[in-house]
Amino acid sequence: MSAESDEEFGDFMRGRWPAMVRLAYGLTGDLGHAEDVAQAAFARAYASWSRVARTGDPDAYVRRIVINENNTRFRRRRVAESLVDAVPEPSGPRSADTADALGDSAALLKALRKLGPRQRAVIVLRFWMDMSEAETAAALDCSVGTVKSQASRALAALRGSAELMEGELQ
Amino acid sequence: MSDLHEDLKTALGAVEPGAAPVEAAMLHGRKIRNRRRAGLLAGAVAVVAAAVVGVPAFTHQEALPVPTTSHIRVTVNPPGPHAPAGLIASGLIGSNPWNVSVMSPSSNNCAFEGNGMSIVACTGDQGQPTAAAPISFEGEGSDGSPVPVNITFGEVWKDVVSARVELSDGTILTLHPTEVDGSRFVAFASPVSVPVDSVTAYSRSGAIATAIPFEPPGGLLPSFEAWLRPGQALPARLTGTFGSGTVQGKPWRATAYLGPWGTCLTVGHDVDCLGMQGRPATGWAAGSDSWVMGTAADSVSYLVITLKDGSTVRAEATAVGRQRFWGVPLSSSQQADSRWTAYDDAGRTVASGSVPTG
Repeated sequence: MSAESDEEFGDFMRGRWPAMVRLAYGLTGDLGHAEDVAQAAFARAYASWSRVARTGDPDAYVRRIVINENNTRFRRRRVAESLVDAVPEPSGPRSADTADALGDSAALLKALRKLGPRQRAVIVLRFWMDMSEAETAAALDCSVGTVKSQASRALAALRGSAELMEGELQ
Repeated sequence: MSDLHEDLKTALGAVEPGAAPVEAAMLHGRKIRNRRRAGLLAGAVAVVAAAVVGVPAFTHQEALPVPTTSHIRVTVNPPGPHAPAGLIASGLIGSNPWNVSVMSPSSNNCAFEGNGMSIVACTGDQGQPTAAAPISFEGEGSDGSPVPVNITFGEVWKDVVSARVELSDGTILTLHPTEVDGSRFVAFASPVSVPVDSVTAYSRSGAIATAIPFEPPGGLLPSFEAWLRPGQALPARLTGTFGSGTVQGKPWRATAYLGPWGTCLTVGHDVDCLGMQGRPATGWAAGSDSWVMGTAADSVSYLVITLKDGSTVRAEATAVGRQRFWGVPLSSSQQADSRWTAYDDAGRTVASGSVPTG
């Protein structure tokens, strides 16, 4: 690739890195895995950058690889996930208001991590990324019915989660 | 629902990743790209003359060590009647499933190329079969699987009815083309530790051609650039260095591998195979991020690359067997807007041109 293409890719990756790690974190529930998944996705985008850039929506390309990589991990593991209580500590100073918000956020992230991988993926794609049921089904390579049932169970699990205050989820 | 959206937005927004590892991603991406690469000078590949019947029994190239491994069962199956649209083939490597699908570019899933043991390619995105190559193989390496695997797939000529893959452990795989959007594809997977000895494409009337792939050092993807017609004599195998040195304190070595796979040049993670053609006047085999290398006519003694800042880099043309090659480290920024000139022994200009990039 030319120096200009490298520069273009570098700018793109620096700009979209936080969002892709957050997506991967929502899907995997582990910041270390999330950064690995995001880095692998960007590497794949770089490997095909001339074509990816031509699509006009490289963000969608990387996002899809992140989702797919998570699907692969999900299929590959087929074992119970080991859950940890620690949540990633946000960097930088916190104000009093943001500390409160982060307290709630930590509870939600903790509850999210206790979901199964597919339920977690459905919640993140449907309710964070605002994907339709059909789009979510396509992204997760399952039926719309599976998305509906997984979403229903996941929402029920979140509502009943000890980590979350009653009434937080509508 | 909207509350959950806002809660997730706040919660995930609070996750602060470290700095973007741009250099690491680019390095990984280059490795992926180089593993995929099947050769840059496909257009220069000459058709090898057809000869008499009978494909010789080929053996794996001796030049490169073959790792020993316990036998790993490999299977390849065509799509069944209820297979998902676009599925080309699937199977097992040991107990690990793999599959390859080809999607229309209009498909939502075509945007990504898959990963792990599941590959999704886009129709029209692969190299097309050429007059010399009945199958336009390319591939992906799956580093994430328990057994490192190469997944190889490609489009075939219209009259190819099957292909026979021989692995170095004696495994024989039979591939049957699957049609997607009017084009026909085959696919197979093999453990990196079990190299592909040969692939033979068949029409209804018999063998069309056989490829003995080049297996680059370092577990890179095999290259299927050269196809031998039935009965054609096997070109001799020869390996030679045509450049070496250090760049930024790290040693580098450019190596040419000549054999039934054609001519393959390696330097670092770059691999370029030139098929079975002779010597283009002064050819550029690769203009990667870090290197340039190529072939040279007999009359060429050395090349001088003039960078845009006026500085020059000299590359000696070195013979390996009866062919001449050259290679020098040159970053992508140095390659931009640079020109090359080839000279003979007497210092006379033989040819010149712009340095291709990318």
